Amino acid sequence: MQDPLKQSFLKEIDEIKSIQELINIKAKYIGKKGVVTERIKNLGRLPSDERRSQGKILNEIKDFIEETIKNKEKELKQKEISESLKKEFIDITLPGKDFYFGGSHPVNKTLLEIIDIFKELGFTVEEGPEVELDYYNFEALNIPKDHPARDMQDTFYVSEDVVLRTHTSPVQVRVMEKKEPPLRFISPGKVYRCDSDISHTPMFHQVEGLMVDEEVSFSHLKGVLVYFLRRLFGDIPIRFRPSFFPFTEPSTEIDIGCIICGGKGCRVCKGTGWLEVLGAGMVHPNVFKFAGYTEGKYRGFAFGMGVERLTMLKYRIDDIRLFFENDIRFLRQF
Amino acid sequence: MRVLFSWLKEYIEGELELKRTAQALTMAGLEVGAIEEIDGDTVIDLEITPNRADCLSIIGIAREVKAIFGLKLKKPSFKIKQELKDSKFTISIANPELCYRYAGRIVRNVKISPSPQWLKKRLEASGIRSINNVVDITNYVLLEYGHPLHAFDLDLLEGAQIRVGTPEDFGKKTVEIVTLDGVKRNANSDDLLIWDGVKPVAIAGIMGGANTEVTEKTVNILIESAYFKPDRVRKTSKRLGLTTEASYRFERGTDIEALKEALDRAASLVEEIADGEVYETIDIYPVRIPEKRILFNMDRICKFLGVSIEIEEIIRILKALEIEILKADSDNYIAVVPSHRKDIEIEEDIAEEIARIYGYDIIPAQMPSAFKYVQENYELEKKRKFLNLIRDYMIALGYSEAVNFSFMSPEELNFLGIPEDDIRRLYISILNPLRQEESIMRTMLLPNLLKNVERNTSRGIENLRLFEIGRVFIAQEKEPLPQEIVHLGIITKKEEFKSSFKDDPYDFYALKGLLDGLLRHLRLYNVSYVRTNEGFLHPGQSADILVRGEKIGFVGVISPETLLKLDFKTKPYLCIAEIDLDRLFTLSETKIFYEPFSTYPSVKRDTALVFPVDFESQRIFDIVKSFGSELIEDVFIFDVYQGIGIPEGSKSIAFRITYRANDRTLTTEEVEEIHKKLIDKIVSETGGVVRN
Repeated sequence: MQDPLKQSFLKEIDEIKSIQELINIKAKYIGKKGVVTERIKNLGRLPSDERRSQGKILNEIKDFIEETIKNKEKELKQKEISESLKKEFIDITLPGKDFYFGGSHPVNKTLLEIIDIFKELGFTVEEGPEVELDYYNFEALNIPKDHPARDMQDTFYVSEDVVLRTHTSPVQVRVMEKKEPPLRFISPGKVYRCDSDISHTPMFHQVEGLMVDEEVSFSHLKGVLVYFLRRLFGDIPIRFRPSFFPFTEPSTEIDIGCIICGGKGCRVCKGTGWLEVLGAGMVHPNVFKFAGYTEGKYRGFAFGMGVERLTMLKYRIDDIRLFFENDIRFLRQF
Repeated sequence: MRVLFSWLKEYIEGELELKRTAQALTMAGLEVGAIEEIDGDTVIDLEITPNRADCLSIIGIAREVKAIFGLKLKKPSFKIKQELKDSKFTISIANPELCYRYAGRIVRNVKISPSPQWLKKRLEASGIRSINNVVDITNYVLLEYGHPLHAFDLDLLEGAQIRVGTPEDFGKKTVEIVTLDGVKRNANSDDLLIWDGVKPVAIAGIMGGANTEVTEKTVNILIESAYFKPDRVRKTSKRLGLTTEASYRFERGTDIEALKEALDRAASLVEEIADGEVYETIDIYPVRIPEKRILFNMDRICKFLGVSIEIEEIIRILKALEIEILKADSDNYIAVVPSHRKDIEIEEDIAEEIARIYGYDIIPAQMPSAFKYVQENYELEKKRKFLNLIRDYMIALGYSEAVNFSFMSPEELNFLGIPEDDIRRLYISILNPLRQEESIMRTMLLPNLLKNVERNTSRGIENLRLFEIGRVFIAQEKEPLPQEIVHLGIITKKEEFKSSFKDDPYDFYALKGLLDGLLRHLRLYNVSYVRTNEGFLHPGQSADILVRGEKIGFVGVISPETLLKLDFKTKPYLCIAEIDLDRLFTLSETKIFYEPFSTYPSVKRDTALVFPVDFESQRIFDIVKSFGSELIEDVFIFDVYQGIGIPEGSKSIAFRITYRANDRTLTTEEVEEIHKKLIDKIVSETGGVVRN
C-alpha cells in the first residue's frame, strides 16, 4: 500500500524540470521544516507501539525520498550537460586559423641535407667571404692571371684584385693557411658567375669539400663521394670520368645514371643516360705550397658541387630561374 | 672540337667502332658532348679541357685513341716533290722571349682557286668556312696537326723579310693594324706582331693583316709556322676581344717540335692542290724548350691512387702515351715527356695518366679505414645553429623562405630615400654587371623582397609572407674586401585580409609580435621600439628596434609615398622588417642558469584606465618597472578599446597585474594596498583616469 505522502512526492518529482525545483521539493519534504521532518518530530506524541511502527514507515519514506532526489539530481545534471553540449557544437569542417608552415627554399633544403650527410662522416663546416680576393679565388688555386683555365669561369670583377668568388674553393686555401691537417670540412655558400641564360643564373650555391691528411688516396675520394651520392639519391649508378681543374691532379667529374629516364637517354641527360653532378680531384701540390704546407707531407682530395643542379634533379625542377623568382606557389611546395 | 669520324679513322691502324670509341674517349677525359650525322658521315663533338691543347687536332685525338685501345698511329704520309732555294728572303726574331721559333716556306706560282670538294667538306664539317685553296690548306693542317699556320701574299711583304717583335722592340709605342676581318685594331707597345720590312702584317698567333691577305690575285705566298708564348697571345687576344682558332691553340700551348712537320704538310698540299713551287724552309729557332724528365715512384703512385697496379701495366700505359721510361734507381723511374704534352709536369700528372688509361672506374671506392678527429669551428657552428633556428622559427610561423641574387641597383637607395651618410650607401660596385639593376652588391635585403612581392602580386597572389636570410655587403675603408653581414629581411603583404576569425597575421602587431617572440627566445630582454627615421616607412606605424640602446633593425608599414612609386595596381598593405643578425648573434645570451620560481599562489588584479588616444602603452610598463615591487610578476595588456562609453579622443587600456611572493601566500589586504599605490602612481604620472 502506498503512503499518500509518498504518492504526492512521486507525483511532484515526476513533473520537475530543473535543479532549483528539485531543491524546493527536497526542502518541502525533508528540509528542516519539511513535511516528513515535521512528522518525525511529532512522533513523540504518539503512543509507543504506534510510534515504533510509524517511525519505521516515516524513516523508510525519508530514505526513499533522499534516494529518489539523489537519482533525480543525477538525471537532471546529465540532461543539462547533454543540452549544453548540443548548443556548443561548432563547424569542425571550417578551416582552422592560419598556422600553415611556410615553405623552405628548396636550395637551402638540399644544402642542409648535404651538410647533414657530410657531418655523418665527421666533416666540419667552414665559410668564407663572397666578395673575395683574386688571390684566393684564382692565384692560390693554381690559376694564374692570363691562364686559359680562367675561361672556365666567367668572373664578376669588383677591382683588378677583387672578384665575386666564382666557386667556394677559396675557403680551402683560407682554412689551410690557418690549420694544419688532418682537415675534413665542407664549405657551402653562394658563388657568382657572369652568366645568365635559360640554364645559368649569375648567382648559385656550391658546396666545396676538402679532406687532407698524410695518407689520403684517390680511392678514398671515390669512397666518400659514392657514399654521399647514394645517401642523397639512393642506389644509383655512378661513374668517375677524368677531367681537369687547375687545383686538383688527377681531376675527375662524377656522373650519376640519369634519374629521370633511368639511363635510357632523355632530354635532361641529353641522350647520354648520365648526369654530371660533381667535380673533384686530388689536391694539386701547388695548392699545398700556397697554403704553406711542407712539400710532399700531405695528400688530400677536394670536391665541389652545384646545389641548384642537385636540387633540380632531386625535385624534378626544370627551370633554374624558378629558384630566384620566389613565387609563393613554388616555395610552398618545399 | 668537332672530330669527323672518318677522318679520325684514317690515322689509326685497325678498326674503330663509333659507339665504343666515343665511350672510351669520354672515360679517358675527352668528354663527348654530342654525336651528329652530317652528309652520311659522323661528327663527334668533344669537350677538350684547357690543359689538353694536344687534343685540339685530329692527330691528337688519334694519339689518344691509339693509347686507349693499344693500337698503332698512322700519320699522314706526304712528300714535297722539289724544294727550291731562295737566298733573298729573311726572317728575324727581335723578341725571342715571346717567339721561340719561327719557320716559313715560300711557295711561288700558286693557282688560287676554290678548294676541291673533299677539302671543303672536311673543313665545313669541322666548323670552318672554306675561303680559297691556300687559306683552306692552312686551316686543314691546323685541324689535322693542331698547329696554326698563316699564309701571307709574299708580294705584299715589303723588303723581302719577316720580323717578329713588339712595337716597343722596333721603337714604336702603339700601332694600328687592320686585321683580316676588316677591323682596325690598336696594338699596344707590348703586343707581339709580325712585321715585314716596314709595317706590321699580323698580330702574332691571333689574326693576319688585311694588307698581306691571300686573294684570287695572289701568285706567291709565304707560309708561317711559329711558336708564340701562350700567356702573351692570351693577354693580347683578351684585350682585343678577338679569339680565333689560332689564338685558342697558341694560348693553350702548341707543340714547338711539330711545327716544322705541319709546315711541310701544308707546303706539300699547296704543291699538290695549288700547283705551287715550294722553297726550302727558313727556320729560326732561338729558344728551345727543354725536354721534361719527371722522377716518379711506382709505389708512391699506387698508394696515391689507392690501387696496386703491376709495374708492367704502368709501363705499358705510359709507353702507349709516348712517354718514355728510364730507370733512375731501384725504386724510381724517370718519365721523358713528349713535346706535345704541355700538361705533364709532376709525379701527380703521371699518376693521372696512368689512372685515366687504366680506368678511373676500375680503381676501388674505399672509405678511409678510420677518420681522425677534426675540431669543429665552434664559433661558426654556433652561428649556423643560430641562423637555422631563426629560419625554422620563420617557416614554422608561416613565412616562406626567399633567396635572391646578392645584387641591387644604386637607384634603389635613392628610391628608398636612404640618407647620404647612411652606411647602406657604402656599397661596392661590380665592374662588369650583367644589368644596370644588378650593378652593386646589396647593402639591404628589402629591395629584392619588394620585387618578389611585386612579382607575386602580378601573378595574382593577394596575401603572402616572405623572409630571407642572407648577406649584405658594406664597403670598408682601407680594406679591399667589404664587411659581409647576415641580415634577416621580412615582408608581408595583404590586399584585403578576410578571415572567419578575428586574428590578422599580416598587420604591424603580428610582425612585431613575431620579433618579440624571437628576441625573447634569444634571451634579449633589453629591447625597445622607438619611432624611426627610415624614409620609406609609414611615420606612424614603424619603429627602430633597439637592443641595449643599439639599433639592430627596423619594423613597420611601407609608407604610402613609397607604395605609390612601386608597381602595384591595387593598394596593398605591406609590412616589413630588416634585422642585423650578426649583431643579434653577438648580443644574444647563450648561457642559461636556472632561476627558482615561487610555488605560492598568485593574485591577479585587473584595472582599466582611460588615456588620450595618442598615449603610448610603453609608459605603463615603464612605470610598473620603476615602481620596483618584487611582488609584481607580470603586466599584461589585455584590452585596448575606443568607442561607446569612452570619451571622444580617448581610449581605454585594460591590464592585468599578477602578484606573487617567493616565500608566502599573499593576503588580499597586502595586494590591495600595493595595487592601489601602483595605480595611483600610474594615474598621477600619466593623467589616466580609472574606468569604472
